[in-house]
Amino acid sequence: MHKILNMALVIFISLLNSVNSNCVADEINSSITPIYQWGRGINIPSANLNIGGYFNMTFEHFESEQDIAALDELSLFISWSPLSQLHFFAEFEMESSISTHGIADFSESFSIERLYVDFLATDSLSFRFGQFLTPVGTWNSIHAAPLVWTTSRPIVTESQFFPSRSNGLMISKQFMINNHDPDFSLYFDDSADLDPRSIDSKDNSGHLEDEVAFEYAIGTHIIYEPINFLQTGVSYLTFKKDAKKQLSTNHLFGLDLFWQNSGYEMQMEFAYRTASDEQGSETSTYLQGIVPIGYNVFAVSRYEFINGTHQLNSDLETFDGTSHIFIPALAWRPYVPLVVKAEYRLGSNNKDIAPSGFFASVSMFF
Amino acid sequence: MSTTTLVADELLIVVAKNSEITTINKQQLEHIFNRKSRINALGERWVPINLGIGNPLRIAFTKRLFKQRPEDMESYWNIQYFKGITPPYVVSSEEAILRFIATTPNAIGYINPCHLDSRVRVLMKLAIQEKIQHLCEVSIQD
Repeated sequence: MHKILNMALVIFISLLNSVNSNCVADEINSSITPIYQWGRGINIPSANLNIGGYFNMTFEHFESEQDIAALDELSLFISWSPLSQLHFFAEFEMESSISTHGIADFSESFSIERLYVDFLATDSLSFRFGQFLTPVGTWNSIHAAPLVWTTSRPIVTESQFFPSRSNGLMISKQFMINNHDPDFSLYFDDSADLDPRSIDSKDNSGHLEDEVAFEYAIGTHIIYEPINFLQTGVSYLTFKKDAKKQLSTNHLFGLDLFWQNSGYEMQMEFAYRTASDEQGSETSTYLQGIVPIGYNVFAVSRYEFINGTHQLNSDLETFDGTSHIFIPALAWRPYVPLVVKAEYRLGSNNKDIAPSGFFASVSMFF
Repeated sequence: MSTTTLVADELLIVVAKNSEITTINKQQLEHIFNRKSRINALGERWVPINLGIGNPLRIAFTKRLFKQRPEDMESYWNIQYFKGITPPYVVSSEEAILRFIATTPNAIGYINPCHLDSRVRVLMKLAIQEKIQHLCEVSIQD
């Protein structure tokens, strides 16, 4: 794995070297001055720089635990494109920094969520190197609170199913075939060597203490739009989890569907993961529908199913069995960057995996 | 002098008159304006320009390319923002589009045919589904 990634890194650096001969300095018209737009950040066209972010405030009332109100996420995006074929992106996040349980230490709540550079080799071929969101399904790639319809996250998209961040190289190719635009991504992760997270969060053996992360992974995601407004996706991922004990390799197969038109939306993800040791196998899916009911209020309904052996935390505790979860919710989007959500989660055999309760949140791009 | 109203059933896709880009198809145009395609065949950055969200020309252009009204694409631009991609610059008038394109390498925009002048070159004609009547008032010498 290390050799493959080193080779990929050499290829990537060679591509970057070729940038000087291909790129021209951009001369954006000076009449476009720096501007702040609510929900789109501050844009400085002359520097091809954009700075923005979002916040998410949550209230969680679990049936069997103490209520929690928190500034759950405060994220800052920096997007910079110094040359036409180079694009840098960073997302820094403070997670659960202030809550009814107190104020967290900066080192505990701060994380680098994404940090990568894109090299645009052509208008349809790009190479990404750094830390990026693992492209399995749709939810994980667009998980920011202002983009999703519920405060809680489907189990099949959680990091215990597959680690949400990858560290390595991703090659993306976009095809143009009769307006169907298939997109193909192939990625190589070597988190064991490349994860930029603080050494403080690793134990003596070099493993992350509190997070489910890759040791290494190879994956692919293919997106295809068979008809207008419908996007379908297929994912395959083979990976080894970062853990103190030796674990066997996991294989994950996923399917996703996303349809959206005139305020209505339907979203589905399915994944099957298997490993030959105690990690076992699991199948999970969710189906979510959105219906506009007037005054920018949307009715949301989600059904989730999970069956098998599911890791519950970084200590490798597991849930074994079958669980059904149902979430009726409302979301109010009075303005494009702002969303207010309320939901109730209930289910069967869900106490350990996704406990019942009421959740609400206010989130906004700034 | 008198003023007459012309009816437009197509938009002109224009670039600077000295642009090296000579051809484009509808799918490429879609990818430029939804920013899936950020560089051209020469490796240079595309700079697409839009009119304001309520402008009839922008509405006709967006419906023709993306089969949606501009406001329906806001959720798409929210997702792109999260991915670090910003939407096309917005200017206030067709004259502003012409001025911007004339002075910015690789800028591309759309205008009503009656506003075409020597500062720009037509790259493509885009038929629109609904005729735009009130945008093209021109002065005619009696």
